[in-house]
Amino acid sequence: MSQPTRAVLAAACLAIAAVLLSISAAEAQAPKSGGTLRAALRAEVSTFDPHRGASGSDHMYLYPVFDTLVRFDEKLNPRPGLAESWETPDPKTLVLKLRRGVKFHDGTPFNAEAVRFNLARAQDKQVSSMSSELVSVQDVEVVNEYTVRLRLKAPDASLILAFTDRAGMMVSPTAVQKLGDQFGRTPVGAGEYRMARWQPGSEVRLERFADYYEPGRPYLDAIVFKIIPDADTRVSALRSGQVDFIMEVPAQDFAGLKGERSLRALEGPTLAYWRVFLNTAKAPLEKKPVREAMNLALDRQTLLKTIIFGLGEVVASPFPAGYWANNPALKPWPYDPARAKAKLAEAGLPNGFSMDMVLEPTPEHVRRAEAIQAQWGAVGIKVDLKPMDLAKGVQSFFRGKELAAANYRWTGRPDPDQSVRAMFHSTGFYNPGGLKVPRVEELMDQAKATYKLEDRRRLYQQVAEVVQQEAMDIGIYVASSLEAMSVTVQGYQQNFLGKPVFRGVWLQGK
Amino acid sequence: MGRFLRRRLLAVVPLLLLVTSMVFSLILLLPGDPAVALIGMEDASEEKLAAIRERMGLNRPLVVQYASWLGRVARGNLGASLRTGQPVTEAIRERAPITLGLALAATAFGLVVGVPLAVLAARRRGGLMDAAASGLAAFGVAVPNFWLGSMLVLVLALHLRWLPATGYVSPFDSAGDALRHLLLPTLTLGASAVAEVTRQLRSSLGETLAADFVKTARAKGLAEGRVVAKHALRPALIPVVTVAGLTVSRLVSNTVVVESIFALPGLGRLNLESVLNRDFPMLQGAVLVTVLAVIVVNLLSDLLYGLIDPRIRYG
Repeated sequence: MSQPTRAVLAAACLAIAAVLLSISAAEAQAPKSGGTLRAALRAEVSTFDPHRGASGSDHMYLYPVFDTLVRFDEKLNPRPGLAESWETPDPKTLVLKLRRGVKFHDGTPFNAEAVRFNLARAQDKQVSSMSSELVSVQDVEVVNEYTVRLRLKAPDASLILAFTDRAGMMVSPTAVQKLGDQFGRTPVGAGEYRMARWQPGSEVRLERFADYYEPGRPYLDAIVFKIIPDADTRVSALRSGQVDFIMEVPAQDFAGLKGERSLRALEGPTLAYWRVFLNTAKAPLEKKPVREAMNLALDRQTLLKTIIFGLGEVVASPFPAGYWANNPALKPWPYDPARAKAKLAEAGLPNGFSMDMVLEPTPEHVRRAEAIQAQWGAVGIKVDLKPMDLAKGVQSFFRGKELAAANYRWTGRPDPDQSVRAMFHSTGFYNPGGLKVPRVEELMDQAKATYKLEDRRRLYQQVAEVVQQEAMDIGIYVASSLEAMSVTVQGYQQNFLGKPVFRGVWLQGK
Repeated sequence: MGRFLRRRLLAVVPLLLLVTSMVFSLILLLPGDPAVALIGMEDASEEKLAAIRERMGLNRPLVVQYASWLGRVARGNLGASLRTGQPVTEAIRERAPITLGLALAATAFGLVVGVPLAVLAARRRGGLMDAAASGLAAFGVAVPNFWLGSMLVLVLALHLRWLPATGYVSPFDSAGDALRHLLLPTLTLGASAVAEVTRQLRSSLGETLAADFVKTARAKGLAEGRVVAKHALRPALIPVVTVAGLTVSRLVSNTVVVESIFALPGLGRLNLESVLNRDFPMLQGAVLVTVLAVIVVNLLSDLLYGLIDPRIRYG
């Protein structure tokens, strides 16, 4: 055999091997249809009516049932949904081009008229809890069967990502008219799954919508959400094989679950931002050097390592690395207790001061708050911890404005405007002292009116800079989203919101 | 007897009024209303809260809210959850059987294990069996439910894989599966019942066994087993009935913890979640049923006294 032939033969062998490999890889990757996914969630859905509801724990139940006008990808970039594309011919006009051939679970066609009905319902204060997300919408015009034009009172770039949330979840107009108040318990959407059975306190069963517009989708026959409020019980349920998926894995259990061969544990960045909310109307928190001292006195790396076992990230702003609105040039506050004491002296408080801090009475919250208490105590800031259930804490701190500080998690919102406005605008609900820095408000207003993502990004980066300069924020860290599942669960992707979306999930045969 | 029953039942009405108005004022004293509890840390704003409060009917004066609730209850309508809109009667119908079943199973477990244990212990005071039973009883009283439950799950469900770790299966769906799911919660909840029954019966049986009529029975030459079963046990049972009655009532409230550990959708969890959600129609309904259950159980144990000891008269 001559040399060239041997080379040809070798090449042919390689080629065949490559083809075989790619086939088996493709086989391993090709989603299989069928099966029931059992997922354990912490809280029960409050209502399946996306407009009426207001609880953050509803979304996991809502996403499979209601397709949204816009979808978000894992990093919260907008992607086409029921709206295939959108454009802004001028800053006060938003035109949505809709997908054709989409039906609601009851057979009602999805079209421009349905979008108009939905947006009007979402704006109707008699029905809706989220009309404030659509305040900038003046009116909604049906251009043709598959095009709607939104006229805005003012330019609003946050609308697109708001349409990935409740505002973009499309309900069947005929079902709403027929069911009235009962819609929230027997919902009809256009999503991959339809509601089949809701056993309050126990489980919610969703079943495959056979007429879903994407051929071959969805993959699962059914999703069963089991309601398990206790975190340890969720872990036991997964370990014993009673469920296939759990969210909000306690940080201390993560390594153990990761080590189990039949399970897969995922960690991913989120917008879940742990911080100390301040009521700057309470002396001496209105003083910038005091807030600087509070920032300098925190050893965030140690907090991250000891409280959540390093499963997160110390950040310089409310946003994690990799998020589009993040400012990678900004450095987190250094840990410098000596400078913290100097700052307190500069504020005329060489001996420190005392304040109270609200927290939730659960083990991880208590550990975190006690560690913060100790670190601040070391520079003379004496913290009196006030454990309260969430409703009492939110009422006393944000509404009653009775206390100085609260150690809570900002859960993150689809659009950065929603986060910065809520925490750093003087009228924001989560800024109970009304701390006002005019430059920050100008920048966020400008960002809201800017549609080009690149330009918006630059503006939010500036917001983060000013927030740090003025020591408006006392961040601790961003906590990772921790989810664990059986190895049979395929195609699951974590997202920055930390709210599991089961789109594209399928089960490998056991 | 008839008069006794009538009087006891009549006393229930003011009791229920008192309890519901207390629950109502307690929940209103708690800072935070159902709207705040619903939104929590999720993008709240004053106007959003106002819209939700309006829909929930929270903008009316408190007295009006309580009166309208009371009016509806008198007509047999317990209202609907402020959070999910589920009718309260429906929620109770679904959840009460789980909790009551669990409490009764745990009490039965307490009696089945506790009575023989106490008899063995009382027959030889200070013996090995007595020490073992007393030790077990002390452990049962002292051990917290949440610890015992977690340990049982760890050993029997996660390591040995004999029983399911969590969850609830309706006996109408599968009786066998329902039983398997109920076993660990029953053991967890029943441990304290075993302990209470053992301790009470051991001491009362000890006293009875030392009484003159037992000595007489023994002097007549009766076998020891017969002395205990026929003569001593019956008078010694009165305190056990008291304890069993109290145990059922206590277990109904203890199920809060056990239902959380085992993810059972019972009344205990409904009570807890309704408090956290400030869902007062639901809480009122759940408390109402709990109170009624306790009253009925107490009444039953009062009636049982008469069956055990015919000298007891109801007047």
